[in-house]
Amino acid sequence: MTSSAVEAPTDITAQEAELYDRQIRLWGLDAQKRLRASRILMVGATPLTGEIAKNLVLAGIRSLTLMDDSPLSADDIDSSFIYDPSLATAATTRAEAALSALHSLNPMVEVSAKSGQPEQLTADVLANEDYDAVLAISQPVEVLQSLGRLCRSVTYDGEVNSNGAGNNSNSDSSAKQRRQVQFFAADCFGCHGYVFLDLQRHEFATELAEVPPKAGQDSSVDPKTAAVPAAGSQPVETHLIKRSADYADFESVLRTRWDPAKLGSLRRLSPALYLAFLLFEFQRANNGARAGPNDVDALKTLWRAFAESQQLPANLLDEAVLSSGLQPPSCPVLAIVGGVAAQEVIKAVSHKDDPFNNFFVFDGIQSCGSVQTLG
Amino acid sequence: SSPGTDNRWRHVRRLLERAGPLGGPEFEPDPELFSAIRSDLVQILVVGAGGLGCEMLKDLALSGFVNLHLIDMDTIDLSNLNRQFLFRPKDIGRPKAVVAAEFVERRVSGCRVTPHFGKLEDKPLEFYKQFMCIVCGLDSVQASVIPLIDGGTQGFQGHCRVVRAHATPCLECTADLYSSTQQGFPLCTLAHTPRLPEHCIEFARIMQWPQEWPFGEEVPVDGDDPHHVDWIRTEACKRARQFGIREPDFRLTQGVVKHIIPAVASTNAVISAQCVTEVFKAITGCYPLLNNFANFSDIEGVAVNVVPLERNPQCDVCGQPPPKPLTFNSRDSLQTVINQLKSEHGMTRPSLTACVEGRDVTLYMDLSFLRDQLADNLDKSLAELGLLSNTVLNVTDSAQSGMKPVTFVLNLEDGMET
Repeated sequence: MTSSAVEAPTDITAQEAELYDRQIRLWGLDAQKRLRASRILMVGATPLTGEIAKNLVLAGIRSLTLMDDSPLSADDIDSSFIYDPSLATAATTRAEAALSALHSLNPMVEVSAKSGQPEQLTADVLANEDYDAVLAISQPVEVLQSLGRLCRSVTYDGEVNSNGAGNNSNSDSSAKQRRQVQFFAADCFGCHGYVFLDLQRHEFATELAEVPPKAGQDSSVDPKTAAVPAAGSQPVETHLIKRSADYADFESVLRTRWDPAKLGSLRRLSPALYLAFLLFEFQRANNGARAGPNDVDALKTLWRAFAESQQLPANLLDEAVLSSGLQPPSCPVLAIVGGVAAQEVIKAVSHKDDPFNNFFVFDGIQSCGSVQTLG
Repeated sequence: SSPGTDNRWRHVRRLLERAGPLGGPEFEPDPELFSAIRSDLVQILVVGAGGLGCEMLKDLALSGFVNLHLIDMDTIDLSNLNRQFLFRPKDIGRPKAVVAAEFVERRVSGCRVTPHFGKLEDKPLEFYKQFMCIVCGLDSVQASVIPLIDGGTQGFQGHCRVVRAHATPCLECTADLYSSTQQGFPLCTLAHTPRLPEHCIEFARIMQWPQEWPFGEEVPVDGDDPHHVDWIRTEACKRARQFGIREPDFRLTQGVVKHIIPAVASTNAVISAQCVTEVFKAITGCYPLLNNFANFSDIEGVAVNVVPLERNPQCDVCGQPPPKPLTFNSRDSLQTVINQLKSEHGMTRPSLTACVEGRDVTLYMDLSFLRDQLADNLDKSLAELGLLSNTVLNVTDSAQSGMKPVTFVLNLEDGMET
């Protein structure tokens, strides 16, 4: 893998300016430059990976590395655009099969496959290969735990220059910061999905609307809470402010205790959230195996035990919802979760705008998404 | 033929072949349902082959639908490629509908996509009647009896809504929900009290340009010509300096002149997928439709919520109850119809218009100066007048001033249908 010895140029080319024009208008040129210096590692090359990767590659990151040695099957090819159909009968891996489609989406992004298992990744590997973010897609809970810990164990000591690239030099500029590896996890189960972020201590810029000189002349803008108004409505002058947010690690989130005293609010949460955690429990009890339609009874037993141990009513999650989470996910669910996940990665690596904190669940029955802060 | 087996559609089949938690109360699972949605009876129209259209086409094809039509009047531009992922640099200049159709047909075996390069308005009404469902990323299609799924995105925000005549608000009912993309600044602000760079740009474009004609008499502004945009920017900057306003750069200037809307792939992915989910439900009946307007925003965190919008009873387009049926024989005369309108529908002097072969035709007007002109129609049979079953009649009563037209639908017992 190339190291960061070659710095990304600080200015974008005219062709890039035109290609990325519509999104630069959304998040600004600085954010686009940081994006274009970002290196991302995705563990797992599933159809969900394909949706996320499509959005990241189109947005113009520096490089995308896929890690998935599982053999490509004919079913894989039919289930997603991301795999190359000409490799149907070749003996190849899912990661390798995704490269040509991703490359053609945006030849300026370096896409590559990395062989090996996630357990073989070390802090040194992450640091040497200079990743800004690691995405664990459709991975078993134990892999999420170890990758989450791994990302937190890496810190780059070095200057972070304006285009976001770390260069490991010990420049004595006052802009010296420690750069962290951001960790993301996402998966789809049946008609539902989740996205989790651990950005450690995350600093970002956000736009605050300026108070217009004559109050009442424009639509009312509360200076304390104003966000940028919807595109297409009257434009308002804004200025950038810096903010920061602290994120919990995956371990703490996994150990979330649902407080039975807050039962009222617990009932308003989507049952898909409980299902996500139940499926983690199932993986722990079954050596990382994914629950399928034949595991309904085992899951019901597991849920009863889980609910009892947390003193929760068993009817927070009924059999109907439970079975809705056990079949292979449909294309639209993958697209929705993939769209949300990709945009949070973009916000995180570009340090622009507010990523959510920290657990998003898409409930395909209610056709609704929600965010909880867990851990 | 597909390298895979029928296994590739197993996730779709599961939804259709088994009773389960997702099924609504009237859903009957059936192994035939899957092949039914792939028969010639199920034709779906996707309106727009841009950011939303590409995503929708992909989602529809991978959800098992095989008879897709796609209409779009645009050709491909470099700035489309950050999100319209069915297109490549070599396709720049070619029609979007054509290229998108080629890509999907090549990639998803068994899926047929018929492209239409042109405007919606140029298609006759009959064109739209072949479709079981229409899904679009534009808001310019009027409500029809068939379900219409509409999606829209701007930057980090988007919506997906279901429109069904008489059940949900039509697009006109809730037109005020859509903020205008034309930045209609008041002229007095532009002329006397500008505060924003955008005001200076619009002043240069609207007021100064037609006074100075910088590139020739009557030569209009071309937002794609960098010289034009530069001229506007220079003038805007002078004005901005005069008023102590931030001077606009080239990008902002061009954005205002061309009314550019910021756009990114991820929002389009989410909204399109929500729309296609609704299409799938509408066609298969496997679950109740979204009720009826979903909002999405990932400006701060992520927010999704669904609201059941109500119809506007004063709506010009849909504020009417469903048309009442009128049953006749095609040999009955128009006079027979008018008699029934008087005796059974409380009308005194009814006037009728109908939509015949795509055009509005006045059948009879009970007004003094028109009675004689159309009197011949009264003795003609409905067949002679070109009226078929399912023709919609709009009726007003000249004796009740200010009355809104009442719609009826013709049901001919021996009848040929429209």
